[in-house]
Amino acid sequence: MSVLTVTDLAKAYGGVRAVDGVSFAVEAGERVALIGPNGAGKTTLFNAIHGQVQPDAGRVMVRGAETTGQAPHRVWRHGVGRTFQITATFMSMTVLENVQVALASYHRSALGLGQALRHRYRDEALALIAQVGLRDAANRAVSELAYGDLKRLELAVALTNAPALLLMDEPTAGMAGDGRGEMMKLVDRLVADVGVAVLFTEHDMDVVFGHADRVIVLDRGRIIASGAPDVVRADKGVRAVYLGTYDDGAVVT
Amino acid sequence: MALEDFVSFIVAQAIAGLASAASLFLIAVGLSIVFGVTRVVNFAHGSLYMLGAYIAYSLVAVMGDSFAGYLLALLLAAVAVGIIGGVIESTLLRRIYHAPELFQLLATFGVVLIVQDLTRTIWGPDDLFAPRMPGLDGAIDILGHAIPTYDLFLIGVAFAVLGGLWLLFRKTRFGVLLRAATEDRQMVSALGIDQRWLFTAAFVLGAALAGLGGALQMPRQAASLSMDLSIIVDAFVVVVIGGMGSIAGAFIAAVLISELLAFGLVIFPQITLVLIFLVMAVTLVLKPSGLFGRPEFLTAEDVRNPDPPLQPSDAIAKAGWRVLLAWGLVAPFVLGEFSTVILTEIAILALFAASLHFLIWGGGLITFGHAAYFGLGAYGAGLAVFHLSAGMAPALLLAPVAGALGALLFGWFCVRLTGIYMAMLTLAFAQIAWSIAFQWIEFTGGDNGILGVWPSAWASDPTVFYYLAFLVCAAMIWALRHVMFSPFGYTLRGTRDSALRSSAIGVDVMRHRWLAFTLAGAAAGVSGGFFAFAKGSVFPEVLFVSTSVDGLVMVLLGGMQSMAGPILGAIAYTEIQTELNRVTDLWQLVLGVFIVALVVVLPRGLAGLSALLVRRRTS
Ligand SMILES: Nc1ncnc2c1ncn2[C@@H]1O[C@H](COP(=O)(O)OP(=O)(O)OP(=O)(O)O)[C@@H](O)[C@H]1O
Ligand SMILES: [Mg+2]
Repeated sequence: MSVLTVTDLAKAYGGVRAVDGVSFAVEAGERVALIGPNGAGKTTLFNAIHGQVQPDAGRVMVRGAETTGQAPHRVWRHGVGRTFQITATFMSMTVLENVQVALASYHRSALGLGQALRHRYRDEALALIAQVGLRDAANRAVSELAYGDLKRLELAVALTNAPALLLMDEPTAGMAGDGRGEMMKLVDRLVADVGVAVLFTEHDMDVVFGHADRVIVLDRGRIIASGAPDVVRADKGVRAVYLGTYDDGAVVT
Repeated sequence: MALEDFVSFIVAQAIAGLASAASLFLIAVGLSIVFGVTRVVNFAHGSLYMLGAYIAYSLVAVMGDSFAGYLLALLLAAVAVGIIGGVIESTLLRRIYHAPELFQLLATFGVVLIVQDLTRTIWGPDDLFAPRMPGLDGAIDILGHAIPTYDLFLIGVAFAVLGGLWLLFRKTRFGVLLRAATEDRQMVSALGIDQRWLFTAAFVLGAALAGLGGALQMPRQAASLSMDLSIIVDAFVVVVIGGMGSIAGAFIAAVLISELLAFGLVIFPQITLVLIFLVMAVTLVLKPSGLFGRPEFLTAEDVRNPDPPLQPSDAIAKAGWRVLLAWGLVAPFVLGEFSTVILTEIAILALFAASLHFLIWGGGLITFGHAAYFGLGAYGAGLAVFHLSAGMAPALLLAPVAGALGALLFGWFCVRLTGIYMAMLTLAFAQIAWSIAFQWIEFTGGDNGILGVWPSAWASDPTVFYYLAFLVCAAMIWALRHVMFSPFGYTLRGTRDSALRSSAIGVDVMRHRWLAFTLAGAAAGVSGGFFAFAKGSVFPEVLFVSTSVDGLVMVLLGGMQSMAGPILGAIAYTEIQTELNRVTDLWQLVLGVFIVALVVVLPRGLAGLSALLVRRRTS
C-alpha cells in the first residue's frame, strides 16, 4: 500500500488552474522531489493534500485511508507531518516548548489543564531536538533563531507524530550552502532509519538530483515528466520549461 | 385584512425600512471606506454621526426657514464633521496606524468618550428636536398609506450617494487610489503616492458621510447623547454582514437590516433582535468575511512583535504574589472598614480583567464584548434571586454557568473570525445581550434593573463578603494563570502565534479557541455574580460596551505582557475612577483623554512604564 496516493487532484483560483488533474503515488521510504518553475502549483498541491485548501476535484489517500478535503488537523492524525515554504512556528515560545506543544497534541493531552506543559514530554522533545541538531538551542526563544534553525525546528515539530509521510515545502530555501547539505543529510538519515516517505519541493537542483529517488516535474498545474533523476534531467520537455537555465550547479529561482 | 390592504401595508413598511436604511448606509459605508484604506475600525464613527445631528440642529435653527436653507444646513453640517474628522485623523489616528487592532479600537473609543462629554457640555443633556424640513414636511398617499415625503427624500439621497460614490471610485483618480489602497497596499506605495494625504482624505470622506447621515436624521428623530453607540453597533453589524471595505456590501446589508427591523417590529417585535442575530450568524457561517468582504482581511497572522516566552515565576515574582495576597488579607484592617466596599470591587474587577487578559494575551482572541459574560453572570445570579428566591450560594454557582453558556453560544460564531472582525462581532453580541436585558422588561426589569440581590445573612457583613469575594476571585485568577501554563494554555498560545502550525500538528484551532472562550466566559460570570451581590442590584449597564471597555483599560493599564497586569490594572483603574468621580463631572472626558494617551504614549501599560524609564535613563 502506498503511503500517499493522489488521483486527478485539481484546484483552481478564479481562472488560474493552480493544480490541474495531478496523479501520483509515494511509497514508504521514498524521497520524491516535486519541481517546477515559480507558480507551477507545488505549494497549492501540498495544500490540497494537507487539507489547507479544499481541492475542486480528485482524491487523496494516506496509507489507504481517504483524506480528501479533510482539515489539516485530521490529516495529521493519519501520520502526515508538514514544513512550510515560509516557516510557521510558535514565535512566543522556546524551541523546546514548540516541540512540547506538538507532543501534547500527539499524546492527545492538548486539552489538559493539569500539570504545567514544561514538565511534560521533556525527554521526548529533547531527543527530537537533538535529532535535528538544535540541542544547544533548546531553551532559546524561537524569535531569536536564524532562519535555517527555524527550518530545523519545523522538521523536529513535524516528526512529533512519528509520521509516515513528510511534506516539506522548500526545506532548504533561505539556507546557506552548508546548511542545505546538512538539512538534506538529516532527511536522508530519517528515511533510512525510520522509513518515512518524503515529498519535497526544491529549487536547488543539486539538492534535487543529490537527494531524490524520484522526481516529478510540475508545470502550470500539470505533471509534465516524472521518473528517476537522471531520466528527468535528460528530458527535453523538462529542459525547455524549467531546466534550461540549469547548468550544473546553478540554482534556478 | 383584504389583499389590497396587505399589499399597501407591505409597501408602506418597505418604504419606511428603506428610509431608515439610508442613514445606516451612510454610516456603514464611511466606516467601510476608512477601514479599507487605513485598516482602522473607527469606533468614533458613531460620534461623528452624532455630531452631524447636533451641528445640523444648530445650523437649522439659524438658517432652516426655507427648503434651500435647510438643505444647506444639512450639507454644512456634513462638511463641518468632515473637517472634524480630518483633525482627528491627523492628530490621533495617524499615530496608531501601526498599533495592534485592539489598541486602535480602544483609542477611538477614547474619542467616543471625549465627544460625548464635549457634546453634553455644548448642547446640554436633553434631547433636541429640530423642526421639519420646509417643503418636505407633508406626506403623500401611496396605496392608501400616508408616506412622509421626507422618507422618500432620504431614499433619494441614499441612492444619490451610492451613485456618487460609484462614480468617485470608478471615474476619478482619487477614487482609483482609494480602491488601490483597499485592494493592495504595496501598490499604493509603489505608485509613489503620499499615503498620509490619501489616508486623511479617506477619513474626511468617511467622516463627512457619517455627518451627513446624522444631519439627515434630524427631521425624523431627536438629537440625543445615545445616538453614537447605538448607531455604531448597527453599523458594525452591517459591515460584518456586508463585508469590510465593500460599498455594495454596506448598501445591501443596510437595506437588509433596516427592512428586517421595519417588518420585524410589526410582526414579532419581541424577537427582532434575535432575527438580526440569526441573519448575522448565518452570513458569517456561510461566508466569514461577509457577503462582499475580502477573505484576506480575516487571515492576518501577527508576527510583528512576538512576546517573549512564558516564564514561571522567579523568586521576586513569587514574593510579589505573596505580598499582594497578604495585602488583600490584611487590607480591611489596615484601611478600615469603610474601604471594604472598594476592596471588594477591586477583587471582583481583577477577576473580570484577568479573564479578559486570558483571552487576549493567552489566546490572541480580541474581544470587545467581554461585558456579555460578566453581565450574564450578574443577571444569572440576580434573576435566580428574583425569580427563584435562590440563596446567595446557589445564585453564585449559577453565575459561571450563565457566563459559560453565553460564551458557548456567542463564542461558536466569534471564534470563526479573527482580528477586527472578531472584535466587532463580540461587541455586537454583547450589545444584543444588553438590548435584550433592556427590553425584556417582564423578565429582567429592564431599565429599572433587579433590586434586592443581597448576600445571605452569614455574609451580609461587608468584611465577611469581602473575604468571600477576595478568596474566590484570587483562587480563580490563580486557576487562570495555572491554565496558561498547562498544555491547554500553551496550545492556545500556539493558536495565537500561528494557526497554520497549530492545525498542522493536529490542533482543532476553532474548537480550542471556543473552549478558551467558554472558560473565560465562566470566569467572567463568577465576577459578575459577585458584582451583583456586592451592589445589591443588577442593571443593564453591566452588559454595556462601557463595561467591556473598563476591562480592556484595566488590562492595558496593568500591562498586557504580565500575569499580574490585570490585577494592578484593576487596582489603579478603580482608584483613578473613584478619585475622578470626586473631583469632576466630566469624568468621561478625562477618561477618554487618558485612554488615548495610554495607547499613544504607553502602549505597554504600567509594566512598560518602568521599561520606558529605564531606557530613557540609559540612552
Ligand atoms: N490563495 C491564492 N489565491 C489566488 N491564486 C493563488 C493562490 N495561491 C496560489 N495561487 C496561484 O496559483 C498558482 C500556483 O501557485 P503556487 O504557490 O502553488 O506555486 P508554487 O509552485 O508553489 O510556486 P513557488 O515556486 O513560487 O513557491 C500561481 O499562479 C498562484 O498565483
Ligand atoms: Mg510554493
